[in-house]
Amino acid sequence: MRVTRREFLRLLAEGAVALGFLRISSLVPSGSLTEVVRPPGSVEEEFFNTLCVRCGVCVEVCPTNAIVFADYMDGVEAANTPKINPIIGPCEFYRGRCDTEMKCGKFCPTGALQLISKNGVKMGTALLNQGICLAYLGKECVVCDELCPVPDAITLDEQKRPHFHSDNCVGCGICVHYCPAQPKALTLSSTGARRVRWPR
Amino acid sequence: MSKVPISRRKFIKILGGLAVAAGVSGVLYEQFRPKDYPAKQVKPDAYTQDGKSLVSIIKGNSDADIDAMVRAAVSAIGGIGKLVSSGKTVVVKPAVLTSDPNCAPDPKVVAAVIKLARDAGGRVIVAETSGGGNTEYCLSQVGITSASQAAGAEVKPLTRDEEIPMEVPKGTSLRRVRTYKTIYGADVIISVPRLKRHGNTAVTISLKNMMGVIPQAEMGRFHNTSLSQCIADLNTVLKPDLTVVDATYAMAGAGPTGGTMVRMDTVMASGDAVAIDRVGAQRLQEIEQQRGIPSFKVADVTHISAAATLGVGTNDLSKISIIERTLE
Repeated sequence: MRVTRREFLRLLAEGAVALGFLRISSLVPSGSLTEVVRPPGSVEEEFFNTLCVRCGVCVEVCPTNAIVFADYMDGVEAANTPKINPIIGPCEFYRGRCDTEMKCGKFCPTGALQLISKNGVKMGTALLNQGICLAYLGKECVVCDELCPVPDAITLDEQKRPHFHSDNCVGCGICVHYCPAQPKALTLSSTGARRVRWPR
Repeated sequence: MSKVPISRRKFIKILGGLAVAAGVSGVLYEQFRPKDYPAKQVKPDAYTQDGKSLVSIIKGNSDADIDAMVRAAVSAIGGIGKLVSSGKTVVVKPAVLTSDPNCAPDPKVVAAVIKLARDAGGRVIVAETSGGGNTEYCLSQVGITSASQAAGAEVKPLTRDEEIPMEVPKGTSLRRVRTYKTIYGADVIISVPRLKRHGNTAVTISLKNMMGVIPQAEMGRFHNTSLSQCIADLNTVLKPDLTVVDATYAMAGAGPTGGTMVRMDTVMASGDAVAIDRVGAQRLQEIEQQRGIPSFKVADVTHISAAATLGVGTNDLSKISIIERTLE
């Protein structure tokens, strides 16, 4: 195949634009980089991408398929590392099939995900958009409060509207997964996540 | 610019052809698409006396004789023989919300109901879709799987069953609903809920328990439209033929999860889901008032009155006769 000078220059320019889209600046390590919600038992973000070998075992063993591969939009350095997508499935580390033993931490071969007890784990915080929430729109819905496994993370006021208490929320994403509003009134953010210290 | 490869006339012809094809295929699809199943035939209440719905309330010691309490509750209104005969398929529907045993009925009550239906000659299936979490896991975690299998029933998490769309002819908010083949093919449906408070609908007893025979996505749609009306509409096509309410321990206060467990030592039974909800709601409210727990007004429970309006049953206390007994 022959490439003319013009084509070669154009390829270079296109590559530069593409790298811009991939947020090349985040290749420079500077502490906690991404806003990705990691599975329970993850080590601190700055060591996570180094320890994780992108093998995908955690994605395979997750019983609810909540763990998915992060993509390039989460940063080039985080591509193909595990993240939680609560729309696909909730994390059952607090109550459910993993409440005795977290499968992702158990099978992680490198220690990027540690096998720890569920006490004190906080993956993130659920955030409520009151403009979409069905209860704030006057409909009969408290599904988040019904299914929340944590006592006092969600309370109802007199009009039966949910109030979220970020200190108690463990970020499992059960409320996000089962929220019947379209689009969902809840999002899971990595705000306030507590990670495993590394080196231990 | 070189010659345009397609003439205006040809382009318009192609557009016209596409429009005709779309129209024809639309008509053909409407002709041959899978039709909704007709509404499931609802049997009239088998447990009535002089035109009144019977509700039995049996008190006893729930540590020792749950089996006897369930037996007494069902025989007080006329016995299981009125519904179940040899060879009938009986679906027992426990109310399982999460993997928390406090939210589900006592497995001993479920087992006692299964034994009753099996003694009458029925083939018993325990079928359920849990509100949250994995249904199979929740059923085994609350102890219903092992207790039901020991009592001789087949346990069927409905999430593994075939979904079917069904018409709801009398529905006001709900025109069609997806349910499962097992439920559609059942001869008798026995609902086994726990007496509980609920954040939205005030109480969750027999009528609301029927939300567990539809897929989880449909439950979401109910909340998105109008929950109380949808529950009432659903019960016009999927009505329990018999309800056995586990009120050995009731959940008061902040239901349906994490409420206060109150010992009531009671098992209730009725063939009329609306009547038993009406009576159960009143009992729950009395208990809450005694204990000083913030309560609700029975008249405000919208899904009970909506179901009564649609003719599912009666919520008029003058048309309900209550049989109350205490076991020795």
